[in-house]
Amino acid sequence: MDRSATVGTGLTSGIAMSSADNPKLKEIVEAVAREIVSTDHRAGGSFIRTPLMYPGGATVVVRVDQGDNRFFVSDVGLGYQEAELMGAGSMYVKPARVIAEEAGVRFDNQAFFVLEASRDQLPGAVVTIANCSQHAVMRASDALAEKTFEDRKSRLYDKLVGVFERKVVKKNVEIIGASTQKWPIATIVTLHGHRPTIFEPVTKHPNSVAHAAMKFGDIALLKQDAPHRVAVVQSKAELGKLLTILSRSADVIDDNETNDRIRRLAMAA
Amino acid sequence: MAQDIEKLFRADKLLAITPTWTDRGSDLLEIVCPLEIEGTVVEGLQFRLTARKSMPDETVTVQIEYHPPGEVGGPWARIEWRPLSGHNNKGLGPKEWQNRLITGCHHHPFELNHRYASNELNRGNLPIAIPIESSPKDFDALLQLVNEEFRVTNLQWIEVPPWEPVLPLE
Repeated sequence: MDRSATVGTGLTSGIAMSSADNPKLKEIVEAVAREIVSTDHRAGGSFIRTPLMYPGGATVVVRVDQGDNRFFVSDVGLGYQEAELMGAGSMYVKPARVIAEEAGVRFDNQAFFVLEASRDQLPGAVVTIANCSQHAVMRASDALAEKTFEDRKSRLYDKLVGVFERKVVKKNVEIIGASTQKWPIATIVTLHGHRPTIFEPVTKHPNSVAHAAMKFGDIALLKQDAPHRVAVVQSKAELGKLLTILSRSADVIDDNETNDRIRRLAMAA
Repeated sequence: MAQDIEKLFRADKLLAITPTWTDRGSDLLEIVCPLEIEGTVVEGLQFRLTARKSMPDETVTVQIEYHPPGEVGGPWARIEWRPLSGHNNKGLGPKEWQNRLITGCHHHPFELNHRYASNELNRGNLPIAIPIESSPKDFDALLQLVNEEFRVTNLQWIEVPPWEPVLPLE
């Protein structure tokens, strides 16, 4: 039977062949399944290496210990350790407690665990603990990203206060764009006799650039009432083609721009 | 900033204080030590070493990390000796290392992560790792490897982790 016609993609019949026709493929798939889930029996215990990954790529590992016809399942604090290695250890415990409660498992401020699982419950317990451990590290990672951006906003404010008088620099304000959408703005400098100038940190992540471009574009449509807009990035050179998008609706400067140039930008408004 | 971190990573470094093992609970042992370059203890530059109390001669992780003033920062490079976890490079890094699932000793090199995943480098992640073909045979050999890769030159101050192996129940 010509399976490629059935598939309708123009693929060669070799690629469209199922494992029924290709015992070699079946062997390969079986081998891959054994590679992505494996066991490790060491002096410290018996471990299952799951296919789940922490954000940095490390695989999630769960330990199983046996009591009298009952099993103890735990991530032995490996999720917490992963968060610590990322620099997000202090952001791990709070979401981890919530995750444990939602999943109906326990958490002792470092490790997720199921105290007693029967043999029948063991696979589910292993998967649940692995999921909790992964989820908690992902939440800590998100919190770390958020804090990093907040730190940049704080540093920008401190820099502007160093360039201008504190009373002309405002942080965390809102500006209503031409669409009537309210946009949060990190910092705005208002010099006497000049239009206000927005200084907004933007990362090189495409989502950050897209969001900033959308915000600046809507504000620019206020025309003569629009504040001057300046995007502050870590490195213009690293933005690549994203710089073109950003520069359509804002001036773009580096984090380490000179005070003199910043002053001139605000006074050009 | 990009030049600074490369310069700092490639410089010869010293542990600035006598490193001592701390029991963090849940079987985790840890050393965190500031690093010194040319007589200056660099603000935010740290050496971190972890081990598991019940697992001697394995599961030791060593990394250099940088937490600049006012920033969160994160790790720059990491060596994992006889780890429990494997590592998946996903679709990152040089083509021959993409989507590789690595088990056993591996190294998250600064150069590869800085070149192919610099975004992640400042977000706490080291997404690219390569296997260490010739696994250090013991803790001292591991420290020798760390000396070569991370250029920390006074690692002889570090004592063997206070392991407490658990005897198997019969």
